[in-house]
Amino acid sequence: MNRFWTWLSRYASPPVFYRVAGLWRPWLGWSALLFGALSLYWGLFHAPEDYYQGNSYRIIYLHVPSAWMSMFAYVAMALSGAAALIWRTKLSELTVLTIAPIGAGFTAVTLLTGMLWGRPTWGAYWVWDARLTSELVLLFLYLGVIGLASAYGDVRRGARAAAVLSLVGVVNLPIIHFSVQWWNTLHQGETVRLFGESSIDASMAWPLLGAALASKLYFGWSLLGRLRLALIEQESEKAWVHQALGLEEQAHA
Amino acid sequence: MELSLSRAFYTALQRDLQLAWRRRGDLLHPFAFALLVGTLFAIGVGAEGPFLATAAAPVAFLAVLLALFLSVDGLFRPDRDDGQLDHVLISPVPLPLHLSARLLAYWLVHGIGLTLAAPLLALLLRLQGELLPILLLALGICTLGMSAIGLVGAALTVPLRRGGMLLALIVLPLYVPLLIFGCGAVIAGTGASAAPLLLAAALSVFLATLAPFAAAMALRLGMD
Amino acid sequence: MLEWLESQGHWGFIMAAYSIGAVALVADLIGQHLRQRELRRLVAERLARRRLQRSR
Repeated sequence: MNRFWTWLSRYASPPVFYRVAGLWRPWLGWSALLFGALSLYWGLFHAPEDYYQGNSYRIIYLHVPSAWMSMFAYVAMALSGAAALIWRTKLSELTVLTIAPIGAGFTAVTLLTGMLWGRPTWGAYWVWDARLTSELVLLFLYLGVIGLASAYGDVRRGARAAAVLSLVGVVNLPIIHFSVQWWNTLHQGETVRLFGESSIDASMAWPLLGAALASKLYFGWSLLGRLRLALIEQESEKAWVHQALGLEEQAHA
Repeated sequence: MELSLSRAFYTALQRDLQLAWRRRGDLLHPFAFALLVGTLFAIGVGAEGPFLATAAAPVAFLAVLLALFLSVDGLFRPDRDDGQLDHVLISPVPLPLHLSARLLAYWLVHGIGLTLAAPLLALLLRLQGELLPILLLALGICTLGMSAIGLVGAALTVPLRRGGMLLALIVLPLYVPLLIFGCGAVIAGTGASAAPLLLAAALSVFLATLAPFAAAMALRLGMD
Repeated sequence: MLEWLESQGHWGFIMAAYSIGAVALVADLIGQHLRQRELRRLVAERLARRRLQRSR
């Protein structure tokens, strides 16, 4: 256990993390591209047409993975927020700040693609469907975290405030989800089911899983890249940053 | 030890209530604001339309919700400005305990106080008479949860020069479940099951239990 | 614009959805690249200024 903590704290030190993240990034990026391209090609051109929805269901290969990622990112943000409040490492604080805009981006993409799917499926761009509504509330939660963090002048204090808010949000998220579902059954009798009672066909499901994997890999790629930039910005006075940016030789000359 | 903790709680509660009593005129503004929201809505929608009849309960609920939200910023700001907050932070009384006293006082004064605007709103919006008791009950319950969320939001924004819009962005999305259960109870009417009210009550108590701890964490972060 | 989109049928909506995804992806890529360049420039400028002061 002790060895685990020393291992972890070693990776939490900015120069080591910067280097290791730089090593991981190409792998994450290229595998995301590979999985994404393959599953989108399969999903768009090879998977059969849906009996009820025709071709428009093919939006799920973008919509559903980004919806999953919007929730996943919020939980990841809250976890790193907990870590930031417990251990107060710079890296976990910056992780909170870095995940928030990525998660908000996934949420926005989910909402927009959901609207584009809604038009051919429900006949309207916006329907107060339970999942779309909770996704909209989630977007506001992300905007609150981003706004709070940027309102503080000091980055680290802003990050810790955002960490508290993300923890409060993650406790409330299932409650919001449940209440919106309950509200939806109260107000609307019947909505078009996106998936019927039966499970979807395997030839439709495999590209979906592939796209979900690709979105996870892309999230990792984007997170590591943004974290590296945030570390450069925060530690711009340190010698390791100058070395990493290739400015050290000039400094000696 | 236990006795002194409960005494600390009551001292803090008493102080907050006394302070609220001395500034009882301040409650007039959110009260008037709630009535104003109801009035503006009725004027906008048109007083004779069928829409007003169905929307009366949600509008009354929302008017109280917004009025309560407007007073959230005052939870810690005056105390911070006159240095009282620093005093509380270094006092030996556990901060969450102090904050739950603050929450309780706030709910009793603002939550229940604004709930009393509901009968007038019901009159203005011509709510069906038999729905009024449910509306009052739902508001009384939900304002506790809203106060709890407001406590955390106010604690997070008190170090900032201006809370305002940011506070709205933090607090209002978290009001959604309370709004749904509270309005749902009134819309469902008298004969319906008590499930939404019970859910609102459970949620309010849950939030009121956890909020002082989250707010304490936020206040300590803001001050160091 | 919306009318045009709706006249394109299902594939119009599909393409619109995927272009939103592509725009988000490209924005992320370019944003990170530009920020990297700007940070590098800022740090380099600061170092150069400091060296100038030291040499005086």
